[in-house]
Amino acid sequence: MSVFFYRTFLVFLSIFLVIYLFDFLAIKTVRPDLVLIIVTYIAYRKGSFSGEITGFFYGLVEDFLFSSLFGIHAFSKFITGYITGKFVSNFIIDNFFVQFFIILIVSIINNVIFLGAALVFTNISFFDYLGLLWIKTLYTAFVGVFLWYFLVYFERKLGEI
Amino acid sequence: MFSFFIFKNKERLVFTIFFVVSILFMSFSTTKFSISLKAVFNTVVYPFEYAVIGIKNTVVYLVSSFTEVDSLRKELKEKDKLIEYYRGQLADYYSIKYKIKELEEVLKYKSESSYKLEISKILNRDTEEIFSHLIIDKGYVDGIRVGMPVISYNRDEPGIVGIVSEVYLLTSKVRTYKDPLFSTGVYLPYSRVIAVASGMGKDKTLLSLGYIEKDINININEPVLTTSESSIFPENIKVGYVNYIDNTEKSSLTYKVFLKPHIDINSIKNVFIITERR
Repeated sequence: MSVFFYRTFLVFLSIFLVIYLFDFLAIKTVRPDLVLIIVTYIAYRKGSFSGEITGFFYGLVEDFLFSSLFGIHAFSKFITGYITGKFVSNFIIDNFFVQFFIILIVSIINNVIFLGAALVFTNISFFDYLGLLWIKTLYTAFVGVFLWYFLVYFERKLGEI
Repeated sequence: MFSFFIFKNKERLVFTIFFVVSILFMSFSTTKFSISLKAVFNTVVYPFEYAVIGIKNTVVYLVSSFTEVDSLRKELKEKDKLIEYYRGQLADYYSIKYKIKELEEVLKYKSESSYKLEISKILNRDTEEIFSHLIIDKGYVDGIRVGMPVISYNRDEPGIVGIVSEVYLLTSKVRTYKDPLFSTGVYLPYSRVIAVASGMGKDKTLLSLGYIEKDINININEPVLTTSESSIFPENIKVGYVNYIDNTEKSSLTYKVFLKPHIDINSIKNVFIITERR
């Protein structure tokens, strides 16, 4: 139960961090996708079922807070969580480069799904958005490596691992 | 059987449900339902959001205040130095302004006067007999001679200060109107009476006019001027004003009149020596 509350707290914290405190980390108005990193981490630890549920509800929270196309974050995150749980949980992530690579791949999948949904449901400019997504992907992967260590550390403290 | 099927395929079922739901959400993204749902969510979240913003702002102000304290201290020190500098400048400005005013007055008196005046600075005042003698910075080489009248100005009007009593090479000594040995002929223009004004010595601020007959009517605050009959001072230089009439001796045929001097020796810095009458 404590882990559930802890993870819920993590998501809200990460969302508030993204909204209010990460302005100074923004590159061309792009901020690292902290929620995706947490969803990836949970999917990796608990499997595809937990990954898709976590991804859907955390994505929904993001939609509520700052999405003009309601449901797009839930959509991209739950599929990403499912895929991560299905395939990435088979890997043993124990070094920096593997972590970076995995988060990079997950972030690309998430952004491709996101962009696909956005193209279908809105009339955004594909190339303008693609440029920003690349920055976001790399940025998320970079930040994700460090955040991963923190998540592992705190879960060890809570006795989950 | 059905529940076993659901349990076995729960991942795919949930995936399908989420897929359909999120597609529906996106499809109806602009409908009233999603907007109002968002509004409800925002209402619930608002207090937390408010608290977080408050904490964030407090932290930001706190951090920025720490960093700003040092720079503000430095700025304050610089401003203090600047203020000190400007204070000095202001003091210099007022001092120069005062000197200019003084010099302007001196030049004005010198040019407007009908006598040839030598301006002199008071170097010293007699410490034993306060103000009964002054030492001035002009002497024999400047053409100063014993017996020359010394005047000063009060509200642009000339008034007597004394006479030169001793002359040295570079300085001179002035016997002021306070000295008991000082006396000069005076004229009261309203009462039309001529008298002799004398100093009253140490600790006395007044001059006296002696032996004026009681049948002469003298008014308080009447001006007293030097007379042409005086060999020391040119005529019509103000000596002072009638301040007090001593009428206590009933048996006497005369009374004493006391004058308040026109020039206050305490407040003057420069004097003018009349070296020649034009």
